[in-house]
Amino acid sequence: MKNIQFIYLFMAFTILCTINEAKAQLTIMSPFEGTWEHIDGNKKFVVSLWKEENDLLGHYKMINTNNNTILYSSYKLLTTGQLKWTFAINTTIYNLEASGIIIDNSVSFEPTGFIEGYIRMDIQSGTTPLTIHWRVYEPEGLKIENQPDFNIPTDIVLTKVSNEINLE
Amino acid sequence: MKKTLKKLQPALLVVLLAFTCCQQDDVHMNDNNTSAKGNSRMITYEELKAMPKAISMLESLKEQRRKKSVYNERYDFTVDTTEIFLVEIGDYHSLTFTISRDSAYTDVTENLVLNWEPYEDYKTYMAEYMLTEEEKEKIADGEYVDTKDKERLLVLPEFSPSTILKSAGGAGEDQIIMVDGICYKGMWVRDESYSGIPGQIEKSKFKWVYLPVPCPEGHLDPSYTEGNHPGGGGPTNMPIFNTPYPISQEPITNMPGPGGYNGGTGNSGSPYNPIYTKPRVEIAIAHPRECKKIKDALDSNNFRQEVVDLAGKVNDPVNEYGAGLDRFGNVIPFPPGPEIQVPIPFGTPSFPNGYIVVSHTHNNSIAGTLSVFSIYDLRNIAQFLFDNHINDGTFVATLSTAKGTHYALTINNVTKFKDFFFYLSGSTNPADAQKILISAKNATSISKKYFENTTGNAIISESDTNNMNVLRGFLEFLNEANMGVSLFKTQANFQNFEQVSLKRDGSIQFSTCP
Repeated sequence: MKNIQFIYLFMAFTILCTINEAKAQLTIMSPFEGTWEHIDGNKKFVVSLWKEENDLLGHYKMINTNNNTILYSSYKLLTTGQLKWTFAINTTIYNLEASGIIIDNSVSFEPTGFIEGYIRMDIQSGTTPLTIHWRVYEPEGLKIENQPDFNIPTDIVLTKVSNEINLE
Repeated sequence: MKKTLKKLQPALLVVLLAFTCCQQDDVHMNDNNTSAKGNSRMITYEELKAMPKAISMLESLKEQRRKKSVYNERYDFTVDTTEIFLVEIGDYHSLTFTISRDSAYTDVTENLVLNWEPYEDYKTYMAEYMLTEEEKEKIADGEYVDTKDKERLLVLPEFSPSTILKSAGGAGEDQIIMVDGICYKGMWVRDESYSGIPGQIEKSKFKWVYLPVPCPEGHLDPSYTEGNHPGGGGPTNMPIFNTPYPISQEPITNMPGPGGYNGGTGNSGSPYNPIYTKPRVEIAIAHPRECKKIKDALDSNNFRQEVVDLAGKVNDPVNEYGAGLDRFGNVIPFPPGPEIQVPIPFGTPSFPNGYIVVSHTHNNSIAGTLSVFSIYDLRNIAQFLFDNHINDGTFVATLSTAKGTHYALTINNVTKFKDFFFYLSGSTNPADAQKILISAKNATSISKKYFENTTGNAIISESDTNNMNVLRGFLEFLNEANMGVSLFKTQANFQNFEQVSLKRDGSIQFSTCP
């Protein structure tokens, strides 16, 4: 009887190890994933990127470095007052480029409280630490009268500061 | 009655599907020997007009489509009356029509079949065939295709009280009966004489119909009696029917004929005539309602001329141009510029105003010209819709581009359109939070796939010089987004329109507006 229990225990252990191994093999990190920063005077623009299935999603925030206060953050409540935006950047990775849609919810524009545009991020080769060229474009198409311009930076270089992210 | 019909919708759908009849002796779907038994040929609408009862039946279906949401899914079809397949055998005949639906991806080829019941009316059926593209092409070319095990025939229920009451059987000549709370009395009325096909002239000048009458005093509450049982369930003087249609579980060949139930028992009444039909493949026709929207909008206050004038300005290398028509018929020119800024139409809560038409151009810019609407054209139309700056029932957008393309776009399903762009709703209702997030993820994912081209990976590109390629990509986008939008191709004079959609094989289908 003890032998049978031991065999079961051994089998369970083996299965768990196999799953963990498989998991480790699948979670190869993209170089885009992590926290990126751009400092301009006393302002720091922080971008957090992570992968979800085939999408590279992200959030951003602007911090006043003098008093460490957040000037704006895309990780904010929806107009409903409940739940926060789950992403403000939705891109697809093409080798060393990632491009897609960015939501600028730092603008004041009723009733939605945001505008949208295209974003492209290129990893710059040979840089240590890694840097990406961040560009935001106005999309072609009809605009609504008095639609504001982007409030977020539209052409900067970001430096990778961590492989982890912190949205708060 | 309408409310009851609505309540019974799921049950009726199930029953409708249960009315499947395959290869009954008196049902001849795609019988290769049909021509040996009688005459079969294609007839035109002009010939069809010589059959007033057939026209009347089509009109009846048309009215149902407009009025009823009961069978919305199944009944929202358009019957093509330009070419009809007629089979004449002896004293009876059948008419087979092709059907088109809004959905470009229906797997089933559907035909409407009107089968003549002597001295009465047509019975309506839906013939369904599961065909491959190759088989469809063969049928279109007039070749025979074996459809055994790929076909079925469904009874298409009619909702007129007279049809409901045909099987009332026990109701006497002077008896008042109740259907869903409405009282009817049977009476003879003069019938229109039927002509048009030799040998099928109606013999009787009168026919028995049930017409609504005031309910007599003291009649019982219809809820007292349940089910489709004449007079059952309680001491009442009048038979009561609580279902809108007598549901028969019998095969089509055993179902009650015009005079009553036959069912192989030798009772009175005629059986249905044999049904002869052959598969007809869909001939594309544009959605009449959406075509009418465009015509009405452009005819309003001569706005067509504004749109034609815009089409003449597409070669400006700097500026784009645009104009709108509001619900009061005012033409509002948009300030020209590298990007069109659409003014918010003037209105007040007491006099809300919205655009009926928003027209603009995609000009000959250095960055390239998108030959179709952009996602942000649609996005900001949706924003206007949420902000009540668009008259949603009649709205039309038009576009002329430097690549020589001219399009009109309508919203055929406002609910779908709003659902896709729901993250723009500005809703403050906490219950909408999840819906906003799901919509944002879906819309941005589809937008980047088809339109975001900063890395040259988007399906739709300004640099693509093949307009058909771009159109195909745009139609793929509309299908994937499922946003309830119809697209129409036109010329610089905006006179004639063709609805464009994708066939299942990926080719583009052009359907001319009537």
